[in-house]
Amino acid sequence: MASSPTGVSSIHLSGPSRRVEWGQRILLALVVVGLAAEVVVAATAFTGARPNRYGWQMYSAVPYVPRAWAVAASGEKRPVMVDDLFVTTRAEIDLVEFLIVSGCQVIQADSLNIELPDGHIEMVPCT
Amino acid sequence: MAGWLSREANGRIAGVIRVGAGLAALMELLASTGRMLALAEPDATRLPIIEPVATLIYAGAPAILLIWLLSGFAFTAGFATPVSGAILAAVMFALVTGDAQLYSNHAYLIAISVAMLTASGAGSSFSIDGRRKGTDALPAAAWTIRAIRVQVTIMYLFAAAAKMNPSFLSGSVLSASLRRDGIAFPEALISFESMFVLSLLVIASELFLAWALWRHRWRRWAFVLGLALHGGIVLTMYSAWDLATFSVVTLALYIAFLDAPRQGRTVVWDDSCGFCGTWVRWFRRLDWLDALRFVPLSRLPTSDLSVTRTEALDALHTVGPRGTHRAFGAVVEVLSVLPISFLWAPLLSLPPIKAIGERAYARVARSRTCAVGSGPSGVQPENRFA
Repeated sequence: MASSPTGVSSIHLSGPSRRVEWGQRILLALVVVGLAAEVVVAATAFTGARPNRYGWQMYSAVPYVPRAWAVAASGEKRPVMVDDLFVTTRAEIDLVEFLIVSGCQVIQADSLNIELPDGHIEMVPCT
Repeated sequence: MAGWLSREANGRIAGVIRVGAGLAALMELLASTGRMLALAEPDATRLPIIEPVATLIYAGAPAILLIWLLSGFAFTAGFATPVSGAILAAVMFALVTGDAQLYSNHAYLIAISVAMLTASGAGSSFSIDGRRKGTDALPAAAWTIRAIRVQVTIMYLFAAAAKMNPSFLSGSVLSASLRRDGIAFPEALISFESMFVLSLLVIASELFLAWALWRHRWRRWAFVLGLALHGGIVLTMYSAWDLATFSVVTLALYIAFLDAPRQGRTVVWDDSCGFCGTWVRWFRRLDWLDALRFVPLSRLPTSDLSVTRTEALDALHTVGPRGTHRAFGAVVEVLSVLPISFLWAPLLSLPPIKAIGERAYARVARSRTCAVGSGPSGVQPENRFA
């Protein structure tokens, strides 16, 4: 505590002010880290196919919706309405990968035929 | 660093943005409710992104939706904002990291915005909390507003960069997305050439917005372009509700770029005129940013303003960072800091519109009937300009 010539003591109130400033610094650091993380994630998303999640890639490309067929053991083929398999379709969802990995779980068939973007037909056995 | 940290901004800016982000979160709730409940059905096709988050959504969809609703309203109104904002941000981040079918870019933007606004204390102003705690008049840290600006810029830069690919530039994305019903893009105009040009314009617009919003000289035209872009996609493309949600949150974030210091513009008005008083009342109501200071003619002599009494009697005046404006120009200055009009107000300064506006103001001013005096003798209507 310091005394002025008039005798009034002044108190250096540094505690609360310094706490507030440190609070602001921590908050700023968190926001900067958050924004930096967002940029890194978005930049990483660029390495994948368009459009990708977390990259602000809205309406950046037309997603490939493959034609697919459910094939019975008898050889009978039934076309699959891929969009109808989902609650809602998103452009970011890789439908080809989904059909290859999980198609047999959601489609009643002995095998699946999936048309790839290059025209090749991928055959996925379900048994 | 300490100086930079201590710089202050109008606390109302974050508060008004908070309302926009909160409304967008509630709009997204309406769109996501059906999807979340459908995903909760055991036979639904599920595409988990982060398994534990997805499991939580599938198991607790009704509860999460209720929490979303309550926290959304509370955050929008600015009630218990640190808590309601944290909860709402958590719900939104869960939405975009749970199931791939629930992800959307506008939900991602809302999640980030709510988190940033909560962290920056956006509940202090223009809020129930602000009224209760008496913090409404307190300034906000300027760096928090700047961080919101950076967020908008990041989004536009990546959005533009992502579109620089053959698929988008071929016009196929726009062609597939444009409505063929309602307010439709004319089918005859949908060709490779026109869609290619439109694709280039979209990319150029996003790049321009990323740059121009930061430039004082170009900012108001960026506001107009942003309104045209985000309004245009809602009107002309499919998924109008989702696009409208995206537009609401993005255009709310534009307020962070608005040059609107607290009571930074002075409006000089004729308080002996009831007609003028009605306009001023509306301006006050809509001045959510508290950017305007109203000086009535009766107090002009004691103010330090350079507007004379004769000038003030003649027309509305504003005094601010862009100088002194009168009549229609003053109206435009006022509209340029109101959240409901700042996006389109710059259009009023374009030559043909400005000329029409000035003539209209002069005609209204000439023909207005002002109620003067309020003493015992009663109110005497007077056409001061006959």
